[in-house]
Amino acid sequence: MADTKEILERIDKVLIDNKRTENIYLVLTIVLFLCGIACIIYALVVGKLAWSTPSAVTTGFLYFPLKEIKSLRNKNVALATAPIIITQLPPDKAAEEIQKLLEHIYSDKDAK
Amino acid sequence: MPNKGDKTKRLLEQLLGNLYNEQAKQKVTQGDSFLIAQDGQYLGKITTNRYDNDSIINRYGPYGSRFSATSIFNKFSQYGSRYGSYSINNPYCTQPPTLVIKGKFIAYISNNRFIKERINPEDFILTVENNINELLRISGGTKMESVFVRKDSYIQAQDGAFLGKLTSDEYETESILNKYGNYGSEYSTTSIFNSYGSYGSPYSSYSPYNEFTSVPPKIFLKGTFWGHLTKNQYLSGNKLDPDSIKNWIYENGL
Repeated sequence: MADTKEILERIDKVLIDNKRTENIYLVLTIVLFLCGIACIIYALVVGKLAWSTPSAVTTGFLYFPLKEIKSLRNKNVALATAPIIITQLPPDKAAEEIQKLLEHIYSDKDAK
Repeated sequence: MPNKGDKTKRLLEQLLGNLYNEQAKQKVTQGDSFLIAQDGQYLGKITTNRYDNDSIINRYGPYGSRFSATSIFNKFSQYGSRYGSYSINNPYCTQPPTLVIKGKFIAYISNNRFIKERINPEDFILTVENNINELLRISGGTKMESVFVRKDSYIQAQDGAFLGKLTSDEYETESILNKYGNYGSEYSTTSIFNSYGSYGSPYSSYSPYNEFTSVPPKIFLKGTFWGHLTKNQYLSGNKLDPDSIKNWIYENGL
């Protein structure tokens, strides 16, 4: 078993990667949102309601990045708790808790 | 494990694997019932206590978890994968794990049809999950067929899960007609009547209520495969509508 320092380093690295991915999603979400707003403003200025259709579509697309951001935050919480679980609990209990974490985060993605 | 790009998952699985490896040390004592690989790796105790850390049925233990490298339930480990050198699921494996009951060799657990004295892994897992007491009663003179092959009528999901016995006795614990049992209650995860569960939801591929599934539960009539339990009208072979299952049970005198 790797020592605590090594575990922490690996967790920190993954946390940084997750943060970077989260930022990319946030930027893309904002861009998508701004596109929608721009279309609505244009529809109002021009007076053609047809121009509000793209904004409705882009608003719908916001669902996917927001879902990913939520999932990433859940993963980060799991990663942040992992060192405490490993260092504070006996190995059998720690394994049980980490497996429960894994099943909780990925239950809707991977069938058991 | 399918998502190779997910670093969080990979890291947590590695940590879990390390924790299980730390626990998985040889623990053979005389008179025990256990499964052991031919490389000497202990693969879990055969016990009814699913909370025992060494138990093969403890899904959070080093021998029952699907994430542990020393578990036959891990489809990627060398003891559970299709290609593992000591795996129960490798059809070409010549050194499969050994089942020992009360200190006596009973059989090999293997998918390799050319191995003598072998037990099919699916039957073994089904028995371990549903009838472990029967397994513990095996002695040198016991006929394997009586333990590992069910002679009764039952349904089984395509992922191997036992989904209940087809019997008109509504008080039998395993009956799908027992509204308070594991296989008949609408709240049980192993019931086809739980419309939110994996085996009863109209959206789950393993459910008989999914009209489009190609992997619905299988029906075994007196130990022999009969057909599928499904709402999918386009599936070939014998099929039974899950809404008519009660009548079907009575018609067949089960």
